[in-house]
Amino acid sequence: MASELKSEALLDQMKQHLSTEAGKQLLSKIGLVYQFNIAPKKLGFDEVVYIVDLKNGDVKKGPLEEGNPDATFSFKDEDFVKIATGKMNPQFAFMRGAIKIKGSLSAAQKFTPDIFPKPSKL
Amino acid sequence: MATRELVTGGAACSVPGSSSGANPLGALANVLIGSSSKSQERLKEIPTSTSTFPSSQFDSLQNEQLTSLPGSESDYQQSQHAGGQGAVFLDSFHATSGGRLADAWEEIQHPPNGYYQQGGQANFGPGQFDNRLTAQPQLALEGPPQKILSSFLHSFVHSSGGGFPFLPTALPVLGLTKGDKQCIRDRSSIMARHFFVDKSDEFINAQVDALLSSLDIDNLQGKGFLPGRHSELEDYWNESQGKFAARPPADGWVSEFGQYRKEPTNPDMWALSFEQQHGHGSWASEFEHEQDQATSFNQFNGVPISNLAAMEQSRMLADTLAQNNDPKFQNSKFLQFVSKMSGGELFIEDNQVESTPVGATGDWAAEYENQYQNHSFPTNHLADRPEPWVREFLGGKQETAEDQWVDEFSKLHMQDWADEFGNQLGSTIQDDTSDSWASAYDEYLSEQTAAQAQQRSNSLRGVYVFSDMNPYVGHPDPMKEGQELFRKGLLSEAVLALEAEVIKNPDNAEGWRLLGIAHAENDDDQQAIASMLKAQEVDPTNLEVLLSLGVSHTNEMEQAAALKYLYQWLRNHPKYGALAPQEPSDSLYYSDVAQLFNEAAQVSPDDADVHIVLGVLYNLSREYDRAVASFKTAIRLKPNDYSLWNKLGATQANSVQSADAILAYQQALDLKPNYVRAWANMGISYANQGMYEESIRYYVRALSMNPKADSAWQYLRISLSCASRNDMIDACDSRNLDALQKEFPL
Repeated sequence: MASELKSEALLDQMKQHLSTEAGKQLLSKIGLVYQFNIAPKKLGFDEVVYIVDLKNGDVKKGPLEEGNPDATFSFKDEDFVKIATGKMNPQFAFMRGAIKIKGSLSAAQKFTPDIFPKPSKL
Repeated sequence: MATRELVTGGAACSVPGSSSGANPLGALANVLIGSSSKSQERLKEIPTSTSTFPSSQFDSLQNEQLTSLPGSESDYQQSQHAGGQGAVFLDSFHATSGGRLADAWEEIQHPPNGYYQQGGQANFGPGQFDNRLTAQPQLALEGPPQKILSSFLHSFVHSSGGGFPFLPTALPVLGLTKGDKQCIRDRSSIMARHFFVDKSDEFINAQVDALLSSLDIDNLQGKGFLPGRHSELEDYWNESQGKFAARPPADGWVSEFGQYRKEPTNPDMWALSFEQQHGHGSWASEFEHEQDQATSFNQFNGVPISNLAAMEQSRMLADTLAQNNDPKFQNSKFLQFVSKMSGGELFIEDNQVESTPVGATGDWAAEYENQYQNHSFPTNHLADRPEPWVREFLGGKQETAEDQWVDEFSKLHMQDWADEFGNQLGSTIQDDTSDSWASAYDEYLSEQTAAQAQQRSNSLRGVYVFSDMNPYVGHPDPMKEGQELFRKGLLSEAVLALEAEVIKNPDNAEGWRLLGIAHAENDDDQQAIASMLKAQEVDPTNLEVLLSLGVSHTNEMEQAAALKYLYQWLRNHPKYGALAPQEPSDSLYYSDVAQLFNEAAQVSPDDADVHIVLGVLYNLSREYDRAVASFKTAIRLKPNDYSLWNKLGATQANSVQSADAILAYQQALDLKPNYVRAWANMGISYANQGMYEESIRYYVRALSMNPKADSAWQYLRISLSCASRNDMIDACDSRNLDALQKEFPL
């Protein structure tokens, strides 16, 4: 528990979100499969892989068993959180080299902060 | 008239005004200029330049302007020198240029009074003109082109400084290159914005257009537009942007240009069209708007093909930066810096920033000329440009530097795209070049956002950041005042009063605690944590403090820290302390802690606090059903605790029971109407359900109560764009609460 990524909390919320009305709209709006490689401290090291399937509406840990994702992103944990909460613009992050992207450019471009549900504050 | 090319454009490229340290553009300027203090000295040196103008309201205008400059460093505001901006601009120019131009400026500056210098060709009314002429020495228009241009620009600056309408004049041909003109155009509009920040956009545009028309610069739509520079890159973009239906770059630019070309000397027309096409508000958003014209605006896919890809990146940068919290930031020089980067006027090489040697590379110019034949490009100027002067000014490295800049940008961009697209660009991917750019950029960014970023990181490390200009400092009993304000629900005021208290009595644990609570309710977890840590220092066993720390860290998703604090809550509890082992192990396991709490709950089932902590714990582990149950139990025991309702709501929201969450928040708000956090949470719940219009209203309401709630600003922005209310994004970026409140009332 102590070593859990912050991103995991957000991704879990995303998973639940996908089963709601609003979440289902995402599926029709985007319909792509993303892979996120999230590194706790340094980009590229000790990455945890998540698949956010916005075609079927699921979030899984671990790489895809069959097929390939439409786009793969590599982030640092903190940066992912910043992007998902709208504190950092993904394009800006990309320019800084804070994100690495592979795969379809147009698919990657659809990844914006607004697809993520926001965490509420206790 | 000599037809030597004038690279005064380059001179104008130097940064107008800066103060050392606080902003990265200042730092940038210092790098360029090499003497931060000099500018400041000069600033103070130059006396008011108002005396020469017939207009009597000139003085007041100037002073007014200086004080109303947003985002300007306090230096400006303090030094009520008219034309201060202009002076610094000129100073930097002066400081940078090595040779003749420096002399030219020297001449201009003595006498140091502002003036409006024109040679005999000015088309003023004779009376007006004579006044000015007799007041000071003229600069002959037959001098070297740079002198003329410099004096002309200078007078623009001073006229700007004076708020005096700038009249277009027919200057002799100065032989400005396209690039120069662009530079001048961009600079002057930026400067005009600063000088005229309190004037209408019309005025600004009129001024700028007057300047531009005199210089025969076309006020083109595309700022920072250098087409054809890197055709391969464009092809690449065209290819990849198949679905983005924008005109091919050459045609688009040409047609636009043709359109403008027809009316070259009609400033009014341009002022109007300029105004139509450019929104009001912050410069950055104006910058964005231009790009918007070309394609649909979407955060990630805004790729106007008509721009060079690299410039586009900088545009996105500007976009992003515009989203930054601090309104100061938006008006800051840094955005200008970025604009210049994207305009190709500045580039970074070896962690130094160099100005683009305008019109430098021969082949670029040739390419450019080939593409746009209907533009009279003075190629002959390329051959005999005043190289020594240029080099002096720019410090060498011209031709190669320019290519290098392009390369750097292309490499930066290619870094990842190149792989997947198997692009023939195939430039060797050099991480170091893009890294050096990125790191230089980072430097500036971090300096610029020092106030914000430093504050944030300080808060995280437990360093509290006090507000400036606290009216309660010196109050006889700020503690009582703070408590009273808190009770009344005036959270931001209470914060100020409590700050005054803890400044007076840093050991007042209760003061710090209440301050922390106020911040948390104001939806500022960072400051809440900082306050609570201080409270904990003074009083390490205070349970409320520990709980609050646990909650705030949970909100920040710092699971380990949250666990630690909640565990300490248990340890320090008089009743349950015995349950916890004496020495906590280094790595607290969640399950162990949860179990302990459950035991505690069994010991005293009617202790609401235990249930509250359990609720928070279950939130950490995302066992939301249990969390909801715990909070409901706690509420049953303490039904009037508004924060409990909020916690319940937040838990429900995070487990995607948004409809229930909204009911809970409503309860909280009934109990405490000024509960900023609950308002913001409401917004989040609506947004998560896709009800963006509603969410906007709630965010705006939260922000109207606490304009410092940064996360709410981010969320508002996202909701605005999801609701396709891009028209209000400017207002959001510039934190214009009035406009937002008017547009989105509850």
